[in-house]
Amino acid sequence: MKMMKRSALALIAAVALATPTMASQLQLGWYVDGDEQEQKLRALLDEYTKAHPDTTFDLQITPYDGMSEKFRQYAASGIMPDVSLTSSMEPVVRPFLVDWAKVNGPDWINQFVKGWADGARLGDQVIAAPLDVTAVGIFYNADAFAKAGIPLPQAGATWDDVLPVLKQVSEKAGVRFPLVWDVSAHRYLTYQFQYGNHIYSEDAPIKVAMDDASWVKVLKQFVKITEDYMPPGLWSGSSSDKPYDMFVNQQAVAYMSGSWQIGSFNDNATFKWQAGPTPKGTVSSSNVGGNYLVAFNTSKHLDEAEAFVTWITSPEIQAEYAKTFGLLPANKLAPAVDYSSPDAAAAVKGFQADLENSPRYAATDQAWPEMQAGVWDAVKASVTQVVSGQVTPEEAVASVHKAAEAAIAASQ
Amino acid sequence: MSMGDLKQHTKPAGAGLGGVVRAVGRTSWPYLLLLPTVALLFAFTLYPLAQGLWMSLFRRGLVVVPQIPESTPVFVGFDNYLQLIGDKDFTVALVRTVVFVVIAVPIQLATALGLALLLAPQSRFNAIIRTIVFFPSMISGLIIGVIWAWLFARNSGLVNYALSLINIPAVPWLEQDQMAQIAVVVAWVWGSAGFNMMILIAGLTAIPRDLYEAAAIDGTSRWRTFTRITLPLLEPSIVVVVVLGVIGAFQVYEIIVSLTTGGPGRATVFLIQNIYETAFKKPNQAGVAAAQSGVLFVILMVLTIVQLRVARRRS
Repeated sequence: MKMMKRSALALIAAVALATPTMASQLQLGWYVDGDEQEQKLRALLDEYTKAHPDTTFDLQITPYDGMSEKFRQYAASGIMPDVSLTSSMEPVVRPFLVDWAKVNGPDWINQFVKGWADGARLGDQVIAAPLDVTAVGIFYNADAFAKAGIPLPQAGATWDDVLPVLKQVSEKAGVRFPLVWDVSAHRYLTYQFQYGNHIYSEDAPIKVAMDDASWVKVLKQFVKITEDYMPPGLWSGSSSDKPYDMFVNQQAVAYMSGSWQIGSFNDNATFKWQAGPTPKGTVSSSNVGGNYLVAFNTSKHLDEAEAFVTWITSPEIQAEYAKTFGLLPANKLAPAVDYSSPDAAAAVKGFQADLENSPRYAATDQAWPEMQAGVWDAVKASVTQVVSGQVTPEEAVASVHKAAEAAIAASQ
Repeated sequence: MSMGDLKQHTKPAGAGLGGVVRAVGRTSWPYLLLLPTVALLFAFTLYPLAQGLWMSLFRRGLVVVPQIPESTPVFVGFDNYLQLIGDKDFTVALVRTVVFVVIAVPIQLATALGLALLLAPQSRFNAIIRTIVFFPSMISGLIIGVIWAWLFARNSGLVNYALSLINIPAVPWLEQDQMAQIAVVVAWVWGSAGFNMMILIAGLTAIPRDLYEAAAIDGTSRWRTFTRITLPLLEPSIVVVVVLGVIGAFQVYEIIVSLTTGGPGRATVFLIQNIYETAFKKPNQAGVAAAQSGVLFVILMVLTIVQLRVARRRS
């Protein structure tokens, strides 16, 4: 018995000596585009651990599409990671989020790109830390233009100018389709923005700001583009053709997507590509988007979680993060990013200019929390149902209007 | 019963507490053995069912967070059920699901029966083919949907590529309402026919061979043998296939999510997807989604009882 007691004491002493302080392992929820991005992320986390040996990471990769469900599960179970990447803060999870205005002061949020920073505010609170900013815009297959002997579109060109050119390039260069466009409410909404349409008012109190007649007109134009320039059925809502794959495999002359593709094209495209200039409608507009980091106030390692988020959103690390992933830094104080590829650097510069030239509603619309309450789905369904001939454009726009009103009613 | 027997019976009964405990133990032993199964059934079927029906009487969020007042339950009685009558998305999805059941289940049965008749005879070749045909039943519905989405892709799919080799223009398998609904039926039947084939083969092998020998001696035609011997004696297996098929068809979801995501537009949004969208994508509609599930439960229960009663009466 004595022997056992001595052994146990020796074991405890050995463990205590081996770990002078208790290391914290932060659970990190994240989504990535492929293994390469995951490796880059792990390298960045290792860099943090090297500088802060007491903090290690348990990286949990989740598909982007599953994030909303994941957040609801967190709220329902009360079991949450310490930190998570997200592009929106679901209402059910907001009570569990760290208020960064209390952690870093109320002015801390002002160092980030305004439109995206506004989306992190909830009254006087700041419930998320902006990590990167994205812009919606077009990519061109520059090789196809060169092969067709047609110059690339210039800044200020409208969709009416550019679309026939894309068709010409498609025919002359033997590329199957003039244009592919991500089947996404976010990307379609950019087209409405370019004709002055948006969903909500730019300032509080929130109200629906839709001019239904103008929305219908622009929706009809968009449906015509899907019929005349895009792969048949792409916007039916059920097509299994992937716009990204089609562009990367040189099946399309142009691809309407966003700045988050820069890193991937830089790694994977086997042809010369160029980002922008994005054609305009009656006005130039992108669509402000991006990612946030949220920390959960249920964390057992709250201090470490807050320190990590503050570190990764600090100006210097923002520049490094943006360079590594080919993204736009969310922090305005980040030093100039030295992108290794001239194509990527030019693309980032173009998208940043697009964001600066966008109307205010291109940032405010998606910053309203009400957008998360079924409005995005209604916007996408409005197009796919018109393309499929199931509803008229007037009915489709009315359903978006109704969903937008319902979201306000639900939030009140 | 002799006096000796009576003594043997009465003696233990009057042997005090130990005898009573033994008697209770003997009678309760079967129930104790059943307990784990009953507990699992209660925990994972009956309790969620009761909880779902209870939830359908409230207006509430899917997740109740006290800090969000609109997510907290408010008793509304049968309002959620009454609301379904005027809910166009629900009624359209319900009708579409019923049409799917009416079309897909007979096709599935016919396919499974055809395969069973072809592959029931024991041979090494048939065993290999049976394994191949059964294989899709072991794949998740999501994967089945992904496979068929690749095959049916309009601009990059294998089916349209094969058609292009014989100069047939690309078919909008997934991009046109009726074609997409047909695609869902094809994928669902492909995914489930193998399992049903095995049930029917089991039923076929249980039919006594001497009945066929007698029919052959009498010179009965193959068709008459099939309709007068095979089909009637296979009826219990067919009932199982139909009941499982109807339940499975009403609950079709994973295949659609990965094959058409409910499109084109909403042309392939069936009942379960509508329930999912109501619960997860609309704010504070969990009670309405639970009411939709309640309606589905009643439909399935009624249909199953009717099918089993009809089968019992006929047998």
